[in-house]
Amino acid sequence: MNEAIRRWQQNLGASPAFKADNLEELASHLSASIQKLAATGLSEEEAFLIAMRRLGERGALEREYAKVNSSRTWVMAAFWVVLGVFVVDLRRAMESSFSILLMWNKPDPRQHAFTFFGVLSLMEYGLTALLILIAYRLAARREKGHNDFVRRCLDRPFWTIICLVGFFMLVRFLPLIVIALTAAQATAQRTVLRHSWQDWLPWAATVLWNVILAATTVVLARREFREVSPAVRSDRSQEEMPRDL
Amino acid sequence: MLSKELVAASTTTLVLSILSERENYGYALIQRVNELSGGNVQWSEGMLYPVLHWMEKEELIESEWREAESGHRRKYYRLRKEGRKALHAEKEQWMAVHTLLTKLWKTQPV
Repeated sequence: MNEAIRRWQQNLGASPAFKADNLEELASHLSASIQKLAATGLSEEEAFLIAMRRLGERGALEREYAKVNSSRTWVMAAFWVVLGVFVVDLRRAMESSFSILLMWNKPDPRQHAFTFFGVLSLMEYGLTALLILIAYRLAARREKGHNDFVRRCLDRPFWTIICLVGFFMLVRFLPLIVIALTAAQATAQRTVLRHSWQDWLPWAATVLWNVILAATTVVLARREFREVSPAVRSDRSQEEMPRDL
Repeated sequence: MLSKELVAASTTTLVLSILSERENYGYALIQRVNELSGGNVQWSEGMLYPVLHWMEKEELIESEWREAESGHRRKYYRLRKEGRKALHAEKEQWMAVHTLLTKLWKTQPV
């Protein structure tokens, strides 16, 4: 029977009108209702059907919930858009870092153009596929309502933002670091030290842009996923809530 | 049986009144209404929850997940200060209608 409720819950979860929290509450209602009905002598299946019927038609339920959660649909859309921009940026950063690493010590880059573009487009498709796969895995796990890693990240928004930006910067600056560490002095001077402060402005803009992106992503994600699985605080709450209100 | 419009109009007041007895969870609220109305007021059960969430947004009530004795997790709702005020205002209005109708029907019995 729990399996049936869980399936029903998953089915309903496909609609953006419901939060995970809403689904859990409805499931809790269903199981209470089924228990009560089954106690009158109905079979589990009959009890399930009647409980579902009493809960109301799915479309109507969805409409009512959508009204209450309307701000959420907006937040959700914004979240995925910002995440998309972030991911595309990350992919471009990876590509540009990779191409710099691949080409920087070649005496005549034109000779390698064919290999270069071949590898680059392969990387482009590969990375896109990989990122979609990761997003899919995350979304699939989120539907089950348990993603400890994401939840832990959202509990520490500040550090998550720092880590995201740090990772991004690492990808961006990787070629510079590698070149600075391994290059002959002349090359290093050409690529790194020649920069005047004006040359660093675009970098500063990149950093700023990434901080904004990461912060927006995390803030939206917190609004969106915070309530996914409310912690059970059974013992403490008993004291906090006086029974005779 | 109560008409659809009256059910819609009275839901918030009923929820506020039941929660003023004590904090409770959704299924129990429905049970309470069934029990007291003798089946005359029938909520489409699922519809209660969006109303509860709306009331929570309006800061009339607040909620908390808790583990019941049976081990089931349930979301309990309780009145907030604003809710208590709202209930007071609702009571006055419903009583005004009630008094008016009673007076009318006393002089012209149905």
